[in-house]
Amino acid sequence: MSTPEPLGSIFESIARRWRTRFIEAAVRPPAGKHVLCAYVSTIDRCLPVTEPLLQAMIRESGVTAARIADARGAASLPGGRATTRGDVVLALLWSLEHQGGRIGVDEPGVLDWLSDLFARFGNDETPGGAPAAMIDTLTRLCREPNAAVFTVFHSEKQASIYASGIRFLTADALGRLGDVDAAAYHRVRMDRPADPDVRNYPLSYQTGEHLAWGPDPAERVRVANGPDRLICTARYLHFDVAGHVSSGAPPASIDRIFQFPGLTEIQRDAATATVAAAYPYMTLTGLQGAGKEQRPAIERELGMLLGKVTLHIELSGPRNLDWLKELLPRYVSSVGVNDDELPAVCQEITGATAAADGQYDSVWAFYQDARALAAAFDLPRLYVHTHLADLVLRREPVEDDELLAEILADLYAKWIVSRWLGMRTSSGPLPDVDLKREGLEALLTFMAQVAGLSGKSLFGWLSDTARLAQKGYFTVADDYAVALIPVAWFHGSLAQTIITTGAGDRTSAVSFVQSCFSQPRPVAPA
Amino acid sequence: MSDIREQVRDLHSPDPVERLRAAAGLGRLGARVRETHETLASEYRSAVTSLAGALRDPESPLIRAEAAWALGRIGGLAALRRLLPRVEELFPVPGAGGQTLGAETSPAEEAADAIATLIAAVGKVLSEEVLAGLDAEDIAGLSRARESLLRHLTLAGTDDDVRVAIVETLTILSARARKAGLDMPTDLAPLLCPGGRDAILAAIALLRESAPDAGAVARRWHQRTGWQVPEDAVSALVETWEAQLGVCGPDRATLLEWLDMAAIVWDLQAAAEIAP
Repeated sequence: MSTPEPLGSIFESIARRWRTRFIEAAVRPPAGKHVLCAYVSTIDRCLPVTEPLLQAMIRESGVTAARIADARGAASLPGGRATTRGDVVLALLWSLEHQGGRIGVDEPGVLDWLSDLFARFGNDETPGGAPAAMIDTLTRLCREPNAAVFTVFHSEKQASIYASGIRFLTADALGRLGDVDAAAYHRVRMDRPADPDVRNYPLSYQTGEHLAWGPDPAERVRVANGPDRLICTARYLHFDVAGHVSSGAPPASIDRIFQFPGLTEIQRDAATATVAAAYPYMTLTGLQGAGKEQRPAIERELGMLLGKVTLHIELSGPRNLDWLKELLPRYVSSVGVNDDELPAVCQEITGATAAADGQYDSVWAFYQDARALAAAFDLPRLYVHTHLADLVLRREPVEDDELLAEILADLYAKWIVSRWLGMRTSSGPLPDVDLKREGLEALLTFMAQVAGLSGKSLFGWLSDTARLAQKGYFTVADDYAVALIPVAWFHGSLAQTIITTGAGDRTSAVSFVQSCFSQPRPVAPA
Repeated sequence: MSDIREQVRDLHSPDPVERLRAAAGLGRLGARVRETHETLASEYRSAVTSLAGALRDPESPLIRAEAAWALGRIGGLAALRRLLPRVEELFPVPGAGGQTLGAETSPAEEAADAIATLIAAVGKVLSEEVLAGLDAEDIAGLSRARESLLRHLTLAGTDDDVRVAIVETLTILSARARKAGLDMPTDLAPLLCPGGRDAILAAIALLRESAPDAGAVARRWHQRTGWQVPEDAVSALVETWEAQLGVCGPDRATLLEWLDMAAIVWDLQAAAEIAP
């Protein structure tokens, strides 16, 4: 079926209505929900890749021209883990020319080198990981009064870099819960042994950049795909004050989500039950990293949230879905994912994808995958965020008001995230943000397909298309209701260059909290 | 036969689909003329005349809306002179004799989308050049339309999209009329009473027209400080507000909310290229 020839009046009408919605959404008050963002947080030190940095890395790693040439021609990111400085350099060069990614670094010497390198080239340490991004957005930008963060480990170093005003869930020696702000939590940590950290070293770059590390024309790369980044990351380790890996204490492992140190098992269970009662909304990140030996205890904890907590998970980063795909249908009510990750996730879970070579050629195509994924996990809610138009699937029955709330929640999320991106990118006035024309066109095209020409006159079809595009949602009996929201984005050159790393976690959290979605997974019948 | 002549011919086709496509085609051609600064050919004058007829097409509001959109895209004084009578038909001034042109559709029967598109098209046409070329009759017609639209805003039950189109068009009119040297003050003060979106849009119109510096300050507050607004700047704006309206402004908390909103809307409108 072809889509209708775009009518200027219909497009303008839709654009005007959605712009008005965007204005309304931008000043939504805080939702006020008691939401907890848990449970793995990191310390990140992001650097843009520059020629001096690249030259220093190559010089200090001692990699040869021959090794560089081999690595640049490799079919995929060289190696899953880096054991030498050279491994990091080769992975970076490959990423610059092909695609960003993640490389594990466990070797203390390499981590110490990265720590010194990043300190030398400057950039502040920031809290990393989805819980940190989510709580930062909910607290500082959305002004949510009842949002808190819980991290399994929380070193003094990590506590010191969280922004003031962010509240941490704590438990005292008797398992009694409380929440305190970052500064107070830092003081709480002072009388306890140091916790381990995960330290990440993301290296970011822009599309089209040319980076030379020597005089030879072969000694340069052009960034082909971007903006993107290579993240060098490690497991939990202890660090000394200089930022070097400490050889003293062994790395800790995560045995459970709510691993309040110093409590007995009974006290931990009681504390977990209290958490479930106190925070009916929760975002959870870290399950994918849990080892097999830890899974039974974590699953028991998840069972304690059933019937009480509406749980949201953002699927991103290393997927490792083998365990997660068992958990999602039982414990998780809401999932967020971006359209870059969706094809691979859908392929892995359902055995098929509507994407060609990992890319969707239409909103209709990613709607097909989203629907298949939601059905496979029996999800009450699925949120797909993109750079064109976001999609929310809600399992029927669902009221029109709830779908409208999803739309306003997403528009608000995009407003908040664009503000955050703008502030991160420039200290000057924020650039203009508006709904993307391409997003509105995608909405119109998608709704034209939904409206369907069969049995209708052209006028009937156009009217139905316009009506659907103005609403932005439709319901399908005994299936999933759909809301499609054009994305708001920056105008001008900034739109091409801004690095969106971390934006997915933020939009996912805001949309989840601002929507009126509340549906804990039920307790399984005995 | 040129594209334009072909489309004009199709505007008179007995097939409503042909008429719809012709209106859409002329709008696209009109946009091209504006973008490339081509001279408005005589063919366009016949297009404007035919589109004026299509504003009252009996078949479908889609055709009527598309014709209004096309006239907005083509622009110029001729388009304005065709659009304003249709506005007066839909929003007759009480005591002015009601409808005058024998429209096939009465205001109550017209679809909200077609009304909103018509009003938005008027806004599109209101360039400084067009305003500078108005004769006394045009100015009188524009004044009547402005008053009717303003009055319509205060009526309960007005479609949201129509309200937004009215406020946006009046914003453009108030800003550009002043630049064009027209004595056409737009009193948006009554809109401040109900609160909500209309009030915000009206506040922006006032700030933009009368106190651009204060507006720029408001924008900077929002961009640099997020939700926090400096005390002295608030006071300055309250004074501006009161001076412009000659009445007491809203309470401080409401004003703060409006200002936050104003900065947002300001950005959006600038992005939509309707800023003066």
